[in-house]
Amino acid sequence: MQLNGYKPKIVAFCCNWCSYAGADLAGSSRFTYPDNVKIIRVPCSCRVDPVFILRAFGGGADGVMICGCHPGDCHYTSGNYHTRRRMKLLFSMLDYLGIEKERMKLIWISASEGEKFASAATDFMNTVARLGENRRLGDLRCKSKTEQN
Amino acid sequence: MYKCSKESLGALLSAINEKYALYVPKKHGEGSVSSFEAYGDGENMYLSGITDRGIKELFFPQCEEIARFVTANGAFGVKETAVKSGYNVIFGARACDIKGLQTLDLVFLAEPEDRLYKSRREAGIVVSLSCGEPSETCFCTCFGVDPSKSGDIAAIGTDGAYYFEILTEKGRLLIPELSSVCKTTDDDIEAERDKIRAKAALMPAALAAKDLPDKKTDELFDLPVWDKLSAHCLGCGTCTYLCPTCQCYDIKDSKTADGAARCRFWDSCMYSDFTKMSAGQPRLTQKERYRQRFMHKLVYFKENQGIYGCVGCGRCVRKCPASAHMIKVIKELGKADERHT
Amino acid sequence: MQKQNGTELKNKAKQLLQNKTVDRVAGFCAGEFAYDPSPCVFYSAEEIEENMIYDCFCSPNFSKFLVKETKKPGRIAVFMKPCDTYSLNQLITEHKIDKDKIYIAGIGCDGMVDVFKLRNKTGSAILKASCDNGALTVKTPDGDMTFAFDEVLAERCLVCKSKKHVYYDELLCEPSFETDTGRFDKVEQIEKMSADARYEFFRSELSKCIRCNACRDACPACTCETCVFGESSSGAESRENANEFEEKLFHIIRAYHVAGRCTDCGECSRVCPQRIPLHLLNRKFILDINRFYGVYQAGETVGQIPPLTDKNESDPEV
Repeated sequence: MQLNGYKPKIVAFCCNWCSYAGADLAGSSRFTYPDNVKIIRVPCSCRVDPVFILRAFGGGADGVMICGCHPGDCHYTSGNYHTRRRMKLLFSMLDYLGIEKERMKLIWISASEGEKFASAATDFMNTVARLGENRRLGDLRCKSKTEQN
Repeated sequence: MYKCSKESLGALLSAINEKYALYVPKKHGEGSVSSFEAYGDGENMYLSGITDRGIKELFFPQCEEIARFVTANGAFGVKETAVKSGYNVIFGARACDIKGLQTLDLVFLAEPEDRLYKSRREAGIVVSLSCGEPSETCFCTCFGVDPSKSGDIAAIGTDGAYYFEILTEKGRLLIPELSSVCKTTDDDIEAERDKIRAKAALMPAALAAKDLPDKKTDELFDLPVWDKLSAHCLGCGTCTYLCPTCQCYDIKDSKTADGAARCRFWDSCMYSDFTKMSAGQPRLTQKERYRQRFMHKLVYFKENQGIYGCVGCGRCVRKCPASAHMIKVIKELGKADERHT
Repeated sequence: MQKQNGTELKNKAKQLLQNKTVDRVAGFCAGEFAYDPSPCVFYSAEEIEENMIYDCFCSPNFSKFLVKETKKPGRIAVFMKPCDTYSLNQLITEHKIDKDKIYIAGIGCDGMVDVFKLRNKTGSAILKASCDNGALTVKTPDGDMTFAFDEVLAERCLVCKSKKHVYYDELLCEPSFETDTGRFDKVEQIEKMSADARYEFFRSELSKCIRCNACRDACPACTCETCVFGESSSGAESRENANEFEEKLFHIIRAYHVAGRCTDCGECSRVCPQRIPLHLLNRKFILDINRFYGVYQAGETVGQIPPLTDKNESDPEV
């Protein structure tokens, strides 16, 4: 999936109990989603430390999505409620610093929502592709090739 | 000796800037700190006092890439950062900072020589500016620094004019620029210099620190006063990073698009992980770290290199968030001298 | 114009030692200059008489020192200005300070002087300084200068959130109140700027950072035994400020780790040698918490649940 030859890098943190299985279901049900969405499995969406998100951007990601269980469905009762508060504040802070907040997304996907995973990933991918390369929150060394001479 | 009017300083600096990369002290408004920056359009120059950040970072930057590791077409290569050629000029440096460079030379230019530092040192033409407005925290005179004369070229500001005296061979490189704006003169400015020296020697910090500890490690290391002095040290790196003579660094590799970049960056002996090794940690408490820093400046460096590792710029005095600064240490160690004799 | 004068505090300190209320007293020792008092611990009336001072330069927040001090045996008395007591409450809530080991005497405060600001105003050496009747008089080599207090007050004091002591064993001043001096104005002003302008503003501010960690080390909310910035396995260790990313990472995470626990005491901005307005990040989190989860002042009472450990099913979606 690309836009004008540009192919963004997307990192998706997926909760082991729901959205990771959702992504699996997307695959086994033959719903296609962009191959440049790289999935990282976490035990719960609230395992995603803000450092992980920033490091993902630093390492070259153009967009980061965090996928967790629907509110009320957390395997650990309340993990996703904490995720919601944390991400709300983090995204708001990044926006405050002038970093495009469309590059980050928190989305609830259950294990049975394979199609939702595929469409959410595709939509997010399109949004990020429109924004272009992430220049504002990245370690630019990860983007440029060493000059050869 | 060259002389130009105060008004023509801009013309002189512009002439130098045409040919060389020129760095001058700048301060962008009241709220901002002062530091050395590229001359640019000459706006926001700050010549009326010591800068918050010194000239050390122009020779030994806070972070610099020293090499790249590249994998291309299945081959692995190491590419050392190239040394830049050509001279650059630093105008407005204070004598304390220049003494700081001489202190760094003892470390970086000793075998094995530091390639990048050496190249910057050779390329840097340092024009000092006499320090007519010392701060109450200045105690450079305690370390034999002459606040009126230093560097490759010594500039001194008097009421209506600037005088430039060339002190080194490298300083002669700027003769064409100096000649284009300044007149040569035989004026005697020694009296002006004496005024500056006398003023600096009378600063409260200089008076407080005039009795530097002249004792050996054994006599000072176990003094109980270290507990008191270090009690409220926060363990931050402010003193270290603003110090013109601190030279410790660490090295780290980071990922790049096609390999890795090796950077070296300032480190601070005040940090808890500074001496961390797989075998453990030799300096476990903040007291030990604090003692290390001040003993290094005032005792170890002198024992090893013959000069103090402090130049009396007073930055740590002004910026320490807990006011656990050098003057207090010097005074307490001075008292220790009395106790021992 | 300090509401509390040094002599009054000295007498109180001596009295507390003499009647065995406490074993030691924390206060300020005179420094070498007019403006550099050191935090000190006094064990005897003689020491207090000889060295203890209190004036408009005694700005460090004492609450963090108590984390270490209360690990020692015995009880310690501390004089606290109103803002310090918020940090103290927060630390008591987090079980970092044992209430039984402290004796807090609340003292009035009309703000503390920002020496950097003062230095900008005098433009020459500060030989002596004294605060009196709403004005600060400074002796310089060029003669005496007098400044209205407002001209030289620290930013955090100009927008002081409260003159009320939220924790004390004894109050040495009249009880006072919370104040509203528009501490969020600047944050709201930045929020109204365009994304590009915001990006440029913070880029230029944060790029001044020299990674000295003073903001972290002075912060009363930063009391981790091992900090993520000093631990190589944390993924946040980044002393190498090779580029803007590392600076942003540090400052976002620093502010984030204290979000919901930050009382807005302003120590971070006070200690920054590069004068980065770090409080603008902390206040953004506070303002967002107020907006999304209801008005919350960290440290207002002991035992509050910080908003980031709390949750509600009806919280707004991201």
